[in-house]
Amino acid sequence: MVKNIGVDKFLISVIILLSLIGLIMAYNSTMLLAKEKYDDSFYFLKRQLMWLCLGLIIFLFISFLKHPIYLDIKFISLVLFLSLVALIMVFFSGKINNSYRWIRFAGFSIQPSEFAKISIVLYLSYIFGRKDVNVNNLKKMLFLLIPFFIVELLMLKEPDYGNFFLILAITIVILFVAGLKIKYFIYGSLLLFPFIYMIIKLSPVRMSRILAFLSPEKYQSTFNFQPIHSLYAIGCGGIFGQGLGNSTQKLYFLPYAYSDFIFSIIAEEAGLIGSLLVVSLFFFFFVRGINIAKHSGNKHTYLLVIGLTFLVVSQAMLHISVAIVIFPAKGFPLPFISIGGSSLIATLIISGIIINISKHRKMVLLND
Amino acid sequence: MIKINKKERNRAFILFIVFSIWVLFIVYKLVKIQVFDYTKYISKVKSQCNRIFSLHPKRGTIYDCNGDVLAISIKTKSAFLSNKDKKESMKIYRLLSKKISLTNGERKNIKKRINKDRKFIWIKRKLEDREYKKLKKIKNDLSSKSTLGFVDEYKRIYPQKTLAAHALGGVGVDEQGLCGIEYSVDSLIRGKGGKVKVLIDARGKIFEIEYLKQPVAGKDIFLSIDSSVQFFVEKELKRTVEKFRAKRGSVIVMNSRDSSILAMASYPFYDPSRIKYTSQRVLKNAAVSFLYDPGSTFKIVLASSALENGVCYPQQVFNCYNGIFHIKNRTIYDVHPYDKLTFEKIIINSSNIGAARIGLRLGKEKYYRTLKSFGFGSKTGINLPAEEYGILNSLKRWSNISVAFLSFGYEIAVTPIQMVRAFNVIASGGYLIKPNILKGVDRIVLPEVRKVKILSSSTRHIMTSIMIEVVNTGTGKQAKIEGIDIAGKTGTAKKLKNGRYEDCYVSSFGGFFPAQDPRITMFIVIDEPKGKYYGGEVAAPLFKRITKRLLIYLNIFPELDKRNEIRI
Repeated sequence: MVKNIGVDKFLISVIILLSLIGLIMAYNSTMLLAKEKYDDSFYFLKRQLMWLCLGLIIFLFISFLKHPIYLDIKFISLVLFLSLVALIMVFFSGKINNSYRWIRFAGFSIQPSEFAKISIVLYLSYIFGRKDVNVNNLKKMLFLLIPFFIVELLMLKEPDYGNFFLILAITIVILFVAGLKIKYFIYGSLLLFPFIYMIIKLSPVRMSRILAFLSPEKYQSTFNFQPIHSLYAIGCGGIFGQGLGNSTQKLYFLPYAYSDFIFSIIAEEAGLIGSLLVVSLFFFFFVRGINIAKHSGNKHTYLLVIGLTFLVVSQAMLHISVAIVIFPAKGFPLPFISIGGSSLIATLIISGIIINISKHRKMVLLND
Repeated sequence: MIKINKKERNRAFILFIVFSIWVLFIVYKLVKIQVFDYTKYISKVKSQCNRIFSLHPKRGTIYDCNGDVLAISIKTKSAFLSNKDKKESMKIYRLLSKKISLTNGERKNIKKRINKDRKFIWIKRKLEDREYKKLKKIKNDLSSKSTLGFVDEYKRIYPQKTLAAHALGGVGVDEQGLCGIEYSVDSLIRGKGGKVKVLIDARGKIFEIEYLKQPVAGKDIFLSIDSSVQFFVEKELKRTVEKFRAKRGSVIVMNSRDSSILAMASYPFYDPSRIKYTSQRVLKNAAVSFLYDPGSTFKIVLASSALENGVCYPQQVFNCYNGIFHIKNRTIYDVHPYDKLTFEKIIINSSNIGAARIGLRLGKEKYYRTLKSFGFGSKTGINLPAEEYGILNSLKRWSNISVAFLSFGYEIAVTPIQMVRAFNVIASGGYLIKPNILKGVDRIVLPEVRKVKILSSSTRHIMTSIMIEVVNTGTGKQAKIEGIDIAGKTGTAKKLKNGRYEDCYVSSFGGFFPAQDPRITMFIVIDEPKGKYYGGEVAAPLFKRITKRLLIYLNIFPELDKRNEIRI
């Protein structure tokens, strides 16, 4: 029936490799800014290294969990509750770049939405992975989706459309895998499209970003500033790249290069070789994740691992798609690699859970 | 615990396929961008962050013969506007325009360029130091700092203001020589421009600098001009021109031994740093480009020719027809009528009729040959631009009476520099020496110019003694200084205007001293003096005043006369 395959060493290597690339790029993409702003070119590297260490400790802790607490409804409820509280707390923390996304705490900023994403996946996989919930029972399903709606409303309120979109996508993925009938997806999208259109229409910036995406040349110097320079960066990387540290686009041509456009810098400095390496690593992550899900033996962990895997890889592919301008400009951090503590720790928590499931595939079975 | 059913597995498989297609599309796009469109992007990026700037070389310094600076280039700042937004640029421009001096034309031009949406607009080049300080303060207060920028440029400074302006000339806004010595030695003094590749970031800040070609500073130039001499020559010239309300005047002071120019002044003066605002008429260097009929000063050339060719001797007597001499259908007059005059007296008293008689005796072929050997009708070759050739008709075009008029300096046009060279033939002991103003380039002293002997020493001695008499007892008495022999010759010529000689005159005086061992040759031209107009009355006194100062300055102690003093 279910064999114990043991811990997925291949996935662990992928995680470690991505983290290492992240560390290199953390220095590489910020040294100029750090030198200028803090007179210490290692400023961001030091912080990122600190986050990585903390993240790895959490990762190891979760990986070695004997009892998979993340499958426990009491724990999930607690996490979900804390996430909601944190998401409400951001509104008391002051605006940064015109949105409430951060809670400032002891000199650090935490982005609760990164963790809310995980708790939503934990929650959804729990409710749809249990016997008594028929996903196609619409009334009950919508009732159980209330936490999801609350989170999404808060995302809109912040506003954080990137994560709004991501959580929506992951929810759809989970519902899809859980077996929701296709017709409900069609109904849903009929409801969703006018809503999304409204969101876009209401914000001139968003509208112009979409327009700029549709006709890049026209808006080159205004709204399309980032995408064009992202293309420049990737394009002039060539096959072998300009060499580490030789990016010219990070010279402030690409704002937030260290987070929203870090892939472009990798592609510029390491060329096609580097960019394909990153794409393949995420693809391996994806393949291994699906594989672990398949072999995890029960619907709960199946949905959970698929949800978490998609959370990481779809965010990565969205980031890359924005960079190569097949998706409108939107700030998605590249998991493992972009600068930012919350994102890194959240990604390592996800990795920890996946690894833990891969390790305890047998125990998972016994547990229920 | 629920097992995973088939439907769920299939759903996951569909997701797997969809996601894989997405990833494949990304890979396809990456290959396209990074391999196939590579050249397109690399050229775009290069143009985006690589800028090639030319670096201005430092223009060489011009020194006088004592090592005093006549012209030097110093680093200054030039302000420009990098125009990204019309409205904001206009706002900044309004702010700036109050702080710096701009002409109306410049103001209009800047506004026009802002409205035309030009990206790069000069506000003012080569700012004064205080202007730069003011603008820098404004720049620091601006919110968008990239809109106002400064670049280093060299600015030509003439520390002695108008001194020797015509000899120096001047430069344009790009430090290119426009006239004077600045123009003629431009290729030496300009240096070679450098090129620098600058890597800039998105904010226009320089990130990396790579020198493609280092600029090479221009060579320093040493002139033979002595600014002290130049100074008092200019001062005295100005006095005379203003006194006689003349149109212009020019003085050339030359070292008799090697024809190097000690001073070269042309009035009206101008400020070489304000060449842009100076009219063409004022910029003209009369010393090399003023063409005029020389008149009586030319008689020294005639006399030299007659003596050299052996057709006359000093005591030979000529009939001077009491002041009116008809030749063919023309008439020649003398100011003071003489019945008979010796060869010497003809020159000393400057008789036109006498000169014509000498010329007729000499004959046109011999005279023409002398004129050619003195270099009339061709440039002296001094290292200054815009030199005139003068006008000397070829022998074929001479009429039968041309030689008579040429004898006292008509039917020929000369420049002051040609005349001073002619006088210096006698002063230098019979040599034709090319006038020169350039002494050295960098530390290399230029070799002395070639001398051509064109007069025998006997001719030269006779000419000198005649010219001493001109100053002692003849028309040049007003140039006389007790205690020193000065050789000279006056000249007064009617000006040819619209093909007719009118009542406008050019007064001139040429001479050298000490007559027995000349050190200085000088030539003076005053154009259209009002009131008095005889060379002996206008130019000779100026010659005397300059000579007095030169004697002191050059420590020339002539043989002292009986009272052991020189009245100077």
